[in-house]
Amino acid sequence: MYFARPIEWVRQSAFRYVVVLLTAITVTIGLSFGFAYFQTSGNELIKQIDDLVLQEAAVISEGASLGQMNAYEERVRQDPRRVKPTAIFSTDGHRLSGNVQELPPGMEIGAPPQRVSIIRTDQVPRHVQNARAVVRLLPDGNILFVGWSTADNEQAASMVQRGLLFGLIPALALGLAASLFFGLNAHKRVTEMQRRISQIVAGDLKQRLPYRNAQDPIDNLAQIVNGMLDEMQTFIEDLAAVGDDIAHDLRTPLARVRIGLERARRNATTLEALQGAADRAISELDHAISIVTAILRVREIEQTRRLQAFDEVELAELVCEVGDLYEPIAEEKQLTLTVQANEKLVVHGDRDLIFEAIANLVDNAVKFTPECGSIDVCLTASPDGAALRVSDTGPGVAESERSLLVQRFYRADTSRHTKGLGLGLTLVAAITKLHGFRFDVLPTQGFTAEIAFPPSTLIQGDDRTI
Amino acid sequence: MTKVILIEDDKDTAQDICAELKDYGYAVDWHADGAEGLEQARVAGADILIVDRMLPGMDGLTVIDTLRREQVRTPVLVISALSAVNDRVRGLRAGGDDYLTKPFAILELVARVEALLRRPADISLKVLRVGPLELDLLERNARRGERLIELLPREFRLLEYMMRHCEQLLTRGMLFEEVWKYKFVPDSNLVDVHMGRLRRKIDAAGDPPMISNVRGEGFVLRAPD
Repeated sequence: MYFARPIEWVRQSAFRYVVVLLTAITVTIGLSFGFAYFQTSGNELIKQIDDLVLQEAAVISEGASLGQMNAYEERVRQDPRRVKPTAIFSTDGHRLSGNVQELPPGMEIGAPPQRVSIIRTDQVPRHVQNARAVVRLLPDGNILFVGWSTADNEQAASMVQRGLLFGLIPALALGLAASLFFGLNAHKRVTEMQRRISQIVAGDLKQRLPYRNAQDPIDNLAQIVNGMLDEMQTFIEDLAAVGDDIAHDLRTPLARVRIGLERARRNATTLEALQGAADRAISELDHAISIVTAILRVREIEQTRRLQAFDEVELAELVCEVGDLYEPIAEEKQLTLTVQANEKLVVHGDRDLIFEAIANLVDNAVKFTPECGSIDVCLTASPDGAALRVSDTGPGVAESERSLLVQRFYRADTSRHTKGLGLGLTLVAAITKLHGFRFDVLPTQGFTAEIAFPPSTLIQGDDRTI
Repeated sequence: MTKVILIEDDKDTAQDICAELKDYGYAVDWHADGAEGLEQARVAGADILIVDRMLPGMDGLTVIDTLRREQVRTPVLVISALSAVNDRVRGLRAGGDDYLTKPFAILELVARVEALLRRPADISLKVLRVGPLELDLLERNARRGERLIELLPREFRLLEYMMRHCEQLLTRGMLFEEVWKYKFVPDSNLVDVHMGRLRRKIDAAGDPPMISNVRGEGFVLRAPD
């Protein structure tokens, strides 16, 4: 499959990875063998041999000048590995003694050691041997040849060469195989991910990326993407539910308008009856309009850029103002509305929006609390910031419904019969989020909504600009 | 006869507005195109302009802006399907005098037109009077005939606004915007409850009523016959 499109395969990063890896292996092995080769055939070793040759030639020459040839004889005799060619030639080049057949041509007396090729007399079958050697003039006029075979070095060097050859090829082959294995494997995983992502793009929101719990980078990435997909799925499902709710909440009043008008058109016999039907229709339409307005309002707040027109807002003053606004309507319903806001707390925010949020909480409380109940609005400060709580003695909500409460249009079933949009809390959530406050519904008897102001959102007395 | 120039591109809406305003005795000149309406306002002039926010040819705000640059001070009511608070601010900043969001009750439109046409009461007045009702702005007290009326600060503000705009239909939206200065309209019947309280204080048992509710659309304060 991959090789059917070689050019594409070459473009894959996995392939490039293989090439880089193999180059690295080759260079490493090459360097280490190169060093070994240099050590065996290089100048350092030759110099050691040359020193030996010079030393031994000097010893023999010295002995000969005293008339003693035992150093020479010793060297000839003690050479079981045949690595120390030694001989004496007459000036015309005839071998007088020793184990070198012929004096190699071109050798100068007294010159430093040089590379020569010789044939030993004591070696069967005969073969040419390379050596480093010098020639010296003896007191009797004959020529002394002292050499040292370099065969050991050459053998070692060729071993290094062979080692390099036989080591590098399997290493390369192994590296290539391993790289291909991992490369193809990675490619296969990526291809699988691409396939799954295409499915997600095509609308299958339940699809997730595969992972193996291997904790490698691809796995980590897959898990992060899966987490993101989980959130998106929830979000999209919420949105769909909101859409359904909007449809429901809009269609219901519209259906009532339609039926009402249809019936009045057919059955009304007096002008009053017709007017009554028209009034009911208008009121239902107003309800539908207020839903649209509220949805737009929430969207508007959610899209408002933070800090735009933000100012210092005195919370206690605002809370008391809301209390003042709702006091008559609470009294009308025989509700006890208590406002406690003695702390001096200043936040950075949009005064109108914060007022709207608090008003919405109180509005909700007034709406949902049955007659003769009570509503407490309480602003408190603590080391962890400040909090505004609006609690009532109404029916409250079930634990399972609390987190769903702030979703648009969500209304706890127990309050379906009470007039209202259910958008109020969504609005509050949007406003608090915009300001960096926290909105929560607390698990209490009745209903308690809380706006928490973290310390970072509070302006301390000495920070104030006024 | 009071002359109104209406610049609105939706024919049905325009026809309904024209018909309603004619019922109230206004002469209405309707233009569907922004540039055309602007030209008419320049040449013929009018007592009030009603301008739709979004228009073909020339945007409603551009029409108002152009007029204001040319020192034409005719009051303008902006009507718009864009409800965003920011858009409202933009409309008023461009030189609009009031802003009404579609869809609106037709009476709301009439009420706002009348409010714009009414010359504002002399703001230097120290005592406001409507029939037997008297509001002393310095002493901060109210009396109807000989009867002294105790008012809470919020009730005082409400009554002051109503006395400055007496004989005029004041809708809930207008009261909420002008008296409470809030930019949102709660869906509770807040205004009605506040008005109810004020009414009980002004129109005590036996008095001929001065505050009346008009067809569920708003309230009017007028001197008893």
